[in-house]
Amino acid sequence: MLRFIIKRVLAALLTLVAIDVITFVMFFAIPSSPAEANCGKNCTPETIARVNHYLGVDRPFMVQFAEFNRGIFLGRDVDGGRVLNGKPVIDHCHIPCLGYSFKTQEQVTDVIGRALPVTTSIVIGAAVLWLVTGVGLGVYSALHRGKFGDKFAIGVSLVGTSMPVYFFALLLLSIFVFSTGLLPYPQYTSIATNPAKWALALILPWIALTFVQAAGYARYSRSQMLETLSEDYIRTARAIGLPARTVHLRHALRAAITPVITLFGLDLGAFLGGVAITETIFGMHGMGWASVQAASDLNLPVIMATVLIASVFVVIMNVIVDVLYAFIDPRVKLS
Amino acid sequence: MRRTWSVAAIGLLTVAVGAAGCTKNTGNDDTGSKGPQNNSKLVYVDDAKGPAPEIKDAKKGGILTVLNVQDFDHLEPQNTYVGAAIMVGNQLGLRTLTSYYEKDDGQIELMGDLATTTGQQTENCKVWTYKLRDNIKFEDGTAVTAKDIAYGVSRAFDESQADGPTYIQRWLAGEDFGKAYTGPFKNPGTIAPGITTPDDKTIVFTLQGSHCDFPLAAALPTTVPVLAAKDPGGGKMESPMSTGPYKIKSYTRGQRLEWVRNDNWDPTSDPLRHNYADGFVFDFSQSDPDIITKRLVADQGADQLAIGFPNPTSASLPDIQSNESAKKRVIEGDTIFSQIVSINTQRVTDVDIRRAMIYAYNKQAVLQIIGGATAGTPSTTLTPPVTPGYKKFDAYNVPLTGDPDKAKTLLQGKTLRPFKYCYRAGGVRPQVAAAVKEAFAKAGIEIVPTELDRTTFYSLIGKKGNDCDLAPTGWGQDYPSPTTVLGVLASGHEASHDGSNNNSWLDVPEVTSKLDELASNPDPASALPQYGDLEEKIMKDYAPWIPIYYVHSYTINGSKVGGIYLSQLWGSPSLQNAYVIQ
Repeated sequence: MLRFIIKRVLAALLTLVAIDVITFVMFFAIPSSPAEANCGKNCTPETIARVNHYLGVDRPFMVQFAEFNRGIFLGRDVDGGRVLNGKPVIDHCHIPCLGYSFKTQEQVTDVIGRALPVTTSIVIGAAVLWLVTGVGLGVYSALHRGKFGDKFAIGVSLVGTSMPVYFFALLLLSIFVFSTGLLPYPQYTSIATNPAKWALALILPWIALTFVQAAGYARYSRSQMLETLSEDYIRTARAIGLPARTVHLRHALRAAITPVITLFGLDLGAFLGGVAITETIFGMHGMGWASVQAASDLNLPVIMATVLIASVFVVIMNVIVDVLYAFIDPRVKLS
Repeated sequence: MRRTWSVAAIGLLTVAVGAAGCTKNTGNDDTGSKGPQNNSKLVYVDDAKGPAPEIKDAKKGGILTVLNVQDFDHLEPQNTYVGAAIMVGNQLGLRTLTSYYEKDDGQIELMGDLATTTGQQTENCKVWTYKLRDNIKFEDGTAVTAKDIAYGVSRAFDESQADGPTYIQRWLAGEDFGKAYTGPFKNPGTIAPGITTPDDKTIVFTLQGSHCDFPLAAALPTTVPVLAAKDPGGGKMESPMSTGPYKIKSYTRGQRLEWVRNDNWDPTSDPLRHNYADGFVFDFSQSDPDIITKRLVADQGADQLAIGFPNPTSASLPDIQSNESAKKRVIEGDTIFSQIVSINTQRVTDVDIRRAMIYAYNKQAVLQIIGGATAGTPSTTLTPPVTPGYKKFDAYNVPLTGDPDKAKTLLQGKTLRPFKYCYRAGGVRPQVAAAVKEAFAKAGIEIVPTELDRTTFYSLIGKKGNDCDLAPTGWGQDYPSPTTVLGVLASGHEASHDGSNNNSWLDVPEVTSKLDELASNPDPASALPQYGDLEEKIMKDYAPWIPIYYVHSYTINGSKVGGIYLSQLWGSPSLQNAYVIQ
């Protein structure tokens, strides 16, 4: 098992390096002038040169790439050309240094540091809800196949899968905030500051994501469960007189849930990189919102960072899923 | 100035017409005024004293929230040039040497703010002297001295402050001021050339030329005092020290800015400001103006205490217009901003072709796209009616839908090349470009719409020798004087360098010298009507731009917000007299 894990982690690291190179090349190749975009109203050629130096785009590609990566692992000093009391000010960019956001005059890690807890709060909470609801509904439907409960659950999940999140999110706002005033307009508060306010602000984003996501999980779990229930070993388990509960939960669900976990891991990885639409509608400044802002401001260091972090999540979740998979189904590691 | 700049410059996504000047100001008596006095909106008041006149029904208490779709680019005073940011800073905490008071009749009074008067000039507006008021302190209790103002103005010379206004720097040290003096960060212990502080309460500016607009430029945040000992350096000042009724308590960039009462502010030292509300919270978390509008229309819970800054798009207008309570909470009026199409006169050299373009333009189609009457009022001039010196004229009498036949007549016998129409990416600008193309085609003029990057648009069209023939642009006064409108957009001086705002590249010596003469007129009031005449002459003789519309502001507040009016100076809802209705 250890060897399997090491192999997967090494492969993941290689993937990360490849992503690092590709994203860097991609942004390096963008035909744009971030210096002009960040230069200010009374822009002079000197200021552009200064910003270019600040952004590091006046140096050769390889140097920039090496600098960027050195910053991530070792931190680095950034000379922004700033002078105070007659002396140049060198800003130290701490590990993991992802560069400097000239547009907002702060380190990219500060931007990410603000955005990541927001996205994590939305996504983890919603993920738990959509997994439990989705799988729960799926299993319920499978066990009550053809009955009213099954049809109802499938009907609801059909609506869920076909409804875009922006529509459902606005519908929720309309009902709970604008029309009835039952809930205040979501205002993100850190869980450390006030857990109750944190949860109150996140209820609507959680419901929105859960409704849209759980639908797919319900349909997927239902079909997996039905397939498993028709297996010979389940029939055998029933035949030998095991209680229905044991047959369904211990034998059927365990086998049926394996592919669902793969799906869940990948979804979670992708979502942690940012749920731009949900964040934007509910005014939550998470990773998705930060990426959208950075893209429209041509704020390259932040775009780079959000892309990199989103990829890291996907890769890490892949590894976790692979390892979990191996635990659930020991045949996996043999392949 | 641009309406917003760099990132969010306005463009075509704003507001409409209607009742202008829904003000709630109770003005001071303007005795002892000098300066512009005729029918102008601007009056100088030199005996203003604190405290500011009470606002009827206003009571203390409550926290007001301002909802806006994005954070201010800067709050660092000397680097601030966007109208709303200047206004908020000035009204809540960042006092300047002079400031404005907007009265309910639409009149604007310029008065001493940190200073006792609007300024004493000698040597034909070359030397300006200011005395500071008593009991003015920074938020930490340190008394504000003339040296702190001198230091503030000096830090404006540092290259890190390149986003801010440059009037005072240029007047003190010449057009190339950045070379004459590089600021106090690089030269510790120095102050800018031309500034002296004979004592702690007196500051004297000796300019290189005659600038009778100095009291107006002194109301820009260039003159915000800064305590040198606590200056974190250029570009690093996120929470400038207050001298006004509120101070910054916390600031998370892009999300939330919280102002609370400043105990070191003395109302008797301030003829302009109040502190009715316990504080102001700026919430930048929602970037969609339509969701903000829906919240304000719904008027639930804490949103009853909220002030909307963004204009709703046409998508959420029906929400307001179908709701009686919401309609009553709208603040609207024309702003200082004017939208035009600048015709590059150095590329489209035939004035008849430029005139034909004016005839061919279909304002009605464009207004329909941007959101109709709540977004803009069709215009025939560059200078908007709220700017002093505005003259109502219509040089070509073109119907709103354009007059392609008249355009064709002007173009008879001419061979036209396709013209490059450069517009800024985003918003409804591509649709507007398509409408312009269609309207011009009817007159036989072919244009090639070319989309330019959102963030670099103004740099690109401001480059000397750029290849755009037409460019839709927006402009508004920097201070209430036509010198910052016609004086910029028609000046040959502006057409000589990159980074120009004269996007028509109009360079007529006769016009430039007339503008110079008007700017140095020691009696600005007598100069005002001449600006209107000059603009009319420019339109008739040179046709350098197509006036499209005056940008209209249309915003909505919660039901417990009182005292808000549309600022004629900054084009945003003013917080000067804001209070919570209890």
